[in-house]
Amino acid sequence: MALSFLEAGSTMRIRVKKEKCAGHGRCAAVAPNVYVLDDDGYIANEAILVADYLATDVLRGLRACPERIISVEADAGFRPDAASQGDLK
Amino acid sequence: VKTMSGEPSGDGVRIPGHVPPHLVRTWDYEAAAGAERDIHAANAVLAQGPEIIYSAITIAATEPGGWLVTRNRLVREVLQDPETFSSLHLTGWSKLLGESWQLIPLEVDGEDHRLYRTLMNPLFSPKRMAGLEAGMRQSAVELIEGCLANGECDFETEFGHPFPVYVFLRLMGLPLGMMRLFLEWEHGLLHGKVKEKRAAAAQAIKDYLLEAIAERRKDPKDDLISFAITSQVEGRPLTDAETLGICFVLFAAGLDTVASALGFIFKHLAEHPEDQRRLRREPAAIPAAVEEMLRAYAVVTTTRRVTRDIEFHGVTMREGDRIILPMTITARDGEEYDNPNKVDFDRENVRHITFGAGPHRCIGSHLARIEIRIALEEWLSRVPEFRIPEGKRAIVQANGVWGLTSLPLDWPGA
Repeated sequence: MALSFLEAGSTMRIRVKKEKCAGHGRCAAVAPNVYVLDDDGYIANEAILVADYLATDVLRGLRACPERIISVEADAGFRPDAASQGDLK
Repeated sequence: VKTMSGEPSGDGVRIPGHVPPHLVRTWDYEAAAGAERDIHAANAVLAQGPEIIYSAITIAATEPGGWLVTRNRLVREVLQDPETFSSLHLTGWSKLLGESWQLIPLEVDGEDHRLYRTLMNPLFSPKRMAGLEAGMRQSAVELIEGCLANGECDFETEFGHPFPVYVFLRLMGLPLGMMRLFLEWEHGLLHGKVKEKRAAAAQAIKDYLLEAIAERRKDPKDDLISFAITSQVEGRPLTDAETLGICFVLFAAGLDTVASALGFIFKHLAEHPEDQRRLRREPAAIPAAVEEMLRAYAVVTTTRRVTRDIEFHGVTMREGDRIILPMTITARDGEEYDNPNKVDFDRENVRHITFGAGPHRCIGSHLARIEIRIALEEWLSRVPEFRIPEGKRAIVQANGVWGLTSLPLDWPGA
């Protein structure tokens, strides 16, 4: 998986348009160590900061979201074209 | 949920004046070339034509005709915009009885919808559903043991339909002995050929549920009906009509859909022994395979109603127009999926809208996923390699929820 937009040792900031979450729960199903659901089964947080060694899980969850409301950015070496669309292939 | 039936109405179809004639189609899913073999692939051509057509014959909210959206991204856009595309009177079931109660939360818009969903979401959360797994597994095993020694079965009759009914009865706290009657009512409501038959089934279900609600009021138990009658919205208890609306939608939405999805999935495994062997060898791959098969074999078409005059992707729509959203077609949208007709358990993009999108996302989606996973786990660990017996074939129908009226299987290795 191409993760060249991240520099080693950086952190990733995940943003979720929480008000648009429809509770599919796919993010937490494929990457439970990154995405946490509330008691209703909807995303618990709108901003999640994680170390970049979890990048594979971060992107797996992002790509699983049917509503496409998850985006991710990195503190360093950020390439918005690759990271912000919620649409990485 | 059954929200449209593909039956041609023949006469009496009125095409509104603002619909351009070149977009009008009388497309019959079952008549598409190759439909008897693979109905999804046969109809995938619709996702290669115009993004939006006007289907003259598809029934939406009990009437024929509506804008039929053929692309994944446009269906998502409609579902994510409930202010422009309303769910009001989506099924027309209470109208069948000459009444006006709503299916809750299915046919409710806006703030009221949010309140009902907030009430019901915890009951159907992934965590809560996981707690039902042992009971579901027990029902699955009993049904499988009932036909295993025969060496053959009709999958839909002996497992696909009864399994979700058992799950529903357990969830609602209703006696498992009601199985046969519930199957009859389900069939009448969703596949009754004439209106009178559908209405009679709706009446029978309504009467039974109202009686169960009255019993729980006297003697509450630990089940969903009791939860509903003891809960409150905006500081007041739910009425009988609201409780009925909730129970009715769970009945109508949760039975036929799961039976249909199971049917297509087991047909696929019977016809693709390499996929079947892989899941036997590698049970840990089952959840990802379920996701890909949910993607490829979507069974539901939902509908919406346009709330104001708009231009939508080059099409002029008028207030009151019906919108038909066939997930069965958009499942095979080549703009969204590479090689969409290939079922590939290793597919990277399995993000699908089989359970819809936006605020009305299927509340039973987590339950359905567990039911399907358990069905696969128990079948593959108990039944030898199964196939469609020589000289027999699966019979597929696309009247409303797409599904199989018959799926003969045998397992000669037994």
